[in-house]
Amino acid sequence: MLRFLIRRLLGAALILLVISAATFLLFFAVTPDPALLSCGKACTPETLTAIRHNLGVDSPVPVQYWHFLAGLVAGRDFGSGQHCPAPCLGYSFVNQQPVLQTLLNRLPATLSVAFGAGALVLTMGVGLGLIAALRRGKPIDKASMGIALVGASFQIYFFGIIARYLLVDQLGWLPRPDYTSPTSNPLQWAGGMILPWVTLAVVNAATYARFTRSTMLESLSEEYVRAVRAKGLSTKAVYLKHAFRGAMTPVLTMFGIDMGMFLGGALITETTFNIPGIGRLAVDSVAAQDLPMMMGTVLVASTAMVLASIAVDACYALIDPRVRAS
Amino acid sequence: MTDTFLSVSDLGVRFRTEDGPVQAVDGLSFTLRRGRTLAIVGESGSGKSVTSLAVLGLHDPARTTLTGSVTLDGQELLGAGEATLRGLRGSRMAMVFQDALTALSPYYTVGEQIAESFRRHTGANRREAKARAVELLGRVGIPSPARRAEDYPHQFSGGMRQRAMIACALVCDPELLIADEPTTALDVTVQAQILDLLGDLQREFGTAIILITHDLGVVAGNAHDALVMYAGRCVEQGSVEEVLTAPQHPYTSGLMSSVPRLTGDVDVPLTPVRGNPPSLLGGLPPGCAFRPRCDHARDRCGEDLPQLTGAGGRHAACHFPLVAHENTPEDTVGPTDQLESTR
Amino acid sequence: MLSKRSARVLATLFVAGSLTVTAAGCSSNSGSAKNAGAGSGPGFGQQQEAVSIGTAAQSTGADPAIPGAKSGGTVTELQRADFSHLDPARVYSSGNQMADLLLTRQLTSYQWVNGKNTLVGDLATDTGRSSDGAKTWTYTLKDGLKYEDGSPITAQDVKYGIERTFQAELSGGPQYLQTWLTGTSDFAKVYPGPWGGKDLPAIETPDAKTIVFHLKSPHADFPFAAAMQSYSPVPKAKDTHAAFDQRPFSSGPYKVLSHDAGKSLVLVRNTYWDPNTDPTRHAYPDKWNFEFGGQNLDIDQRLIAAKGEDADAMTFRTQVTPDLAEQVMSDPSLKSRTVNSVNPFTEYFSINNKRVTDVKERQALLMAFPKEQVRKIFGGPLYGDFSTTFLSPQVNGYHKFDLFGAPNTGDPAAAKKLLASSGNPHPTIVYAYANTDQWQQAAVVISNALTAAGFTVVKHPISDQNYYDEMGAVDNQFDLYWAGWGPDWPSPTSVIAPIFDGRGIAPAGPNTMLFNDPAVNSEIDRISAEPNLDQQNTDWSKLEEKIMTEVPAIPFVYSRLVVMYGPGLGGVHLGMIGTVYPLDVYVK
Repeated sequence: MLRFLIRRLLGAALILLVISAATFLLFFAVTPDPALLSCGKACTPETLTAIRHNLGVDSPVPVQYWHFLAGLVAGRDFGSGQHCPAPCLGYSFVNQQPVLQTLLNRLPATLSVAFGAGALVLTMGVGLGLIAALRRGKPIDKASMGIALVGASFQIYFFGIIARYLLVDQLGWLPRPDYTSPTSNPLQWAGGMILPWVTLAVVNAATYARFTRSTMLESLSEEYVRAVRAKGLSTKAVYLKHAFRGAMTPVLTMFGIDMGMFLGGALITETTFNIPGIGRLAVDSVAAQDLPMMMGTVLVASTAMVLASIAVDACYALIDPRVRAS
Repeated sequence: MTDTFLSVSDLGVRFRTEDGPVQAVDGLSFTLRRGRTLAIVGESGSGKSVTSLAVLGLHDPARTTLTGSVTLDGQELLGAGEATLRGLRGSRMAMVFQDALTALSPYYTVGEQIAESFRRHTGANRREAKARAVELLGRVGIPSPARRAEDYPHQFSGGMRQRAMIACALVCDPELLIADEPTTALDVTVQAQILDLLGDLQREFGTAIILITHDLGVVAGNAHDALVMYAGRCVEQGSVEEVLTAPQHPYTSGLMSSVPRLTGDVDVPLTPVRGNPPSLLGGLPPGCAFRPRCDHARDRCGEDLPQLTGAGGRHAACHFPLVAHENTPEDTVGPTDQLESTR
Repeated sequence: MLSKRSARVLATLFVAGSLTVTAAGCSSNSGSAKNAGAGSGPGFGQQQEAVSIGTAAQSTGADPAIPGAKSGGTVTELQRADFSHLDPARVYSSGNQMADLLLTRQLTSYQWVNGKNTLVGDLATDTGRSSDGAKTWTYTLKDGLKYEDGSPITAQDVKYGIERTFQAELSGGPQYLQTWLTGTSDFAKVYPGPWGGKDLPAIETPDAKTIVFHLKSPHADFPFAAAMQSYSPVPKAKDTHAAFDQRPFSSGPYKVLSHDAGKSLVLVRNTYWDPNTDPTRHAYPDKWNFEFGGQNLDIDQRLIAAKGEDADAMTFRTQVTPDLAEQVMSDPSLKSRTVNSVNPFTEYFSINNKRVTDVKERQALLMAFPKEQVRKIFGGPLYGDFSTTFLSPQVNGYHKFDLFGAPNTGDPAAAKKLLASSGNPHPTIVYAYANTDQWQQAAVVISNALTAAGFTVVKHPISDQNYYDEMGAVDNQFDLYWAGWGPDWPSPTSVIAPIFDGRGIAPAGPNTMLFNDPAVNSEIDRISAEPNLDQQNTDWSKLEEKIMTEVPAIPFVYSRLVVMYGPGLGGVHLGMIGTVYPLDVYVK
């Protein structure tokens, strides 16, 4: 298991290197000269050159990328006195801050959204799916699948805005979605997170419910489940210990991908609910054409994705001894 | 009747399917005593597996209707509550499935899977249950059972897996063991070992066994009585010797000729029963269900449904049983020969 | 003398199909909730001054108290994006000016009393004394001026603050003073900024209280330029260079308590600020909480709901979305807490004067143009008031005139007649527009109207990111396209000169009409050099009318600012710079 993890983490580092190179080349090759943006009126070639130098964009793109890599190890200094300590993921000239500092600053909000929503999605989705599978064909199955279908047909920006309008603005039942540090005020933190969590859960849980139901039904039709029943085990043991274990793997795969996306910043949710996380940072940095920050958010998102896939694989091994063996 | 352990009388199993109702088993009756083995023989779809599931109560209650009566040691099972059945399953009656690879969960160790049944029925703690699992593995002939108990099914060979599943079934010393094609997935050598194991266990504990198979070769030497099913009905029953040496129903006879033999001319091709079993969907046409495949069918076979007739446990359901003609001794393999061929 | 940046902001916002139009300007009655009709200015008569120049007496003492206002409380301000700059040297767009209004002071500032704006001395005892035909400007600082650490604000600091704006690294700010002091737009060659240790001799500071500017040419509206946030005092010892942008050293009534870029900004009182030295800032609230990141619709809904702390919430420039406008305008309790005013921005459809050279043809375009139908697509009357001029009623020198009397719905018959008398009776017109939903709809409406008047119309969509660059190309192959202009101060100088000076034609420049009339150019030079501001305003007005006879463009609307604020606030009104002004706001 340790060797597996080490091997996978090394592979992940390589993948991230490739992604960083690709995004770097892509962003810096296709976007307009960032220096022009801050040059302003009466922009003379001299001013432009000076600004380019200050921004560190006056050398060819591959060389810039090399500076970026070197900065990861050694840190960087920019023309107008900005220092970016190692590991330097770049320097945002819009925020006048090292990119990493902003990312770390925004990470707690994204983690709060991701883990809270993830837990809720899993409990709601899998719970509904289990109930539906156990009571297949019964009214409760049809009801929960109906709910799931309605949930799935919602979009976050629709459901979120409506829910917010009704529950927060009109009825005042829920506190306004907002991020407060859980260490400074846990109650306010949870209060402000309810709506993002519930919205993400409602919209995503539907997929989980339907998926869990179908994998569960598939699992229930396995011969070994019948064999377990022939042993006289309780229904609970049959369903939860045996059938569910078999149904878990595909559900987990989906969950891993979703968690990877949440952790990379739930763009729409964070933007809809004004949660200052990585996702909103990504949207803002695109709007501000803040290339280094865009790079940073892309790297966070890819890292989250890669780590999530490693976590999923590790979970596979924990769940299924056959995977462990190979 | 004295020590009848399992009694099935007039059992009917009816499924609702999307295409219509299916009468999978109709009017099936048999009894089984402790220490005896009843072989239920038939092609797939003949209702033999459905019968075993009905006995254990493992059918899908939402779409199955059971009629008739099944008593285990005098206790009526049809209509008994799920809790009652759960208490019996795995303890007094157990089942060995055809393919241990699919019937054992891939996610738990063999030891755990044997132990969980024991814990469920005896209330033993984890350690006791584990010891019991190791003991059972040893008994079914797994070498270094303590170590192998920690292995997962995929780490076992096919024969070992089947033994492990038998251990699983035997962990609570069941009085009735239903073995559904327990050796079909195995090669011939292992097949014989497994069947021997079942025989040994039966002699030791007096277990009543229902051996479900489509292979008459397996029946010979491994069962005391045989019951041949066709299209959900019993067409012939009797002691194994009677049924195999003097089959009365053309279907039984047909099955016999499809059994490969080691004696006699090896070049003679097998003659399987021609045609296919009828679809049970929407009910059968009047008359004998086997008629379309029968070389001896006459007009009457298409009109009246033949009833089981006979005495002393020897019955057949045919208007024109094969007693008097065509059944020459050379065509029939004796039980001893057959036994030899499978060992 | 041009506000390319504001125009660019304006253009970008427009092209995105948004109703948000903001930048510099002056005020009308707040919440006057007057519905905008065709060409109706909010009560300005012929040549009325939008902003007057105050006396030295008006420049002393505290800002006259607003009746009913009291100190204390916390105001929450909501907006989509963070201020892109706080460093005054880099502050230009109206959005950014809002924060620095609270954090910095300037030599001059605007005093708002009962809806009337007056330019008065802020740090200085008056709006400036000129000599040498408006080429030399002298200011004297007041007593008792202090930074957030209690240290005094000196003339040297004002000079240093202006010197910083030359520094290439501190890009983005306006460049009026830099250009005027060096006589060239390539001012960095003359003076590279103070970080290298060099001094700018064009500004003299004989003592700690006196500062003298020596301009290369006369600029009668120097006092207006001096009011820009970019020209704020910065003590050399406190210049943290790039980091200054995150946390400027305050000379204003508030200082930065915390700033989490893109997330929040909290301002608390600068206790060393003395209200008795400041005639332009009330600074009633104790604290300002800025929250960034909310969607425009959410901001509107929070302000409508006004729950809890949101009762004291406001927004500087988030326009009421068209979806909610109906609700807001029909509910008296909501309408009463809405700022709804014409701002100093004007919008027009530029005619490419290089390509459409026949004045009759240009006049026919104007006559046929369906202003009413186009405005409807963008939200109707709340979008703006129909215009017939380039100067907004919020700009000095504005006077109402309509040379052609074209109906707002267009007059195809009259246009046809004009075309028939032109040198090109069957012209083809290439109409370029940003490829957004609203502009696509508008293109259809415009095309139909022009076709009815006898034009052949070729519709040319441009991707919205490239709109400004392609439309602004000096050799563009289009005949008609939307443009807008926002002046940096309410003087006609900052409107007429930049958009009509043919020698200023440049890629993505303000003269989008590519209008180049030598007579107009020389008149621009003459009026710019006029030292008397009143005379100057009158002359600009006359020139505007003369230019309009040549129909360089089709005036469209004077845009409106429509924003909401919480019921717990008072003193909320449109400010000098086209957005809601923070300096008179109080918590009830």
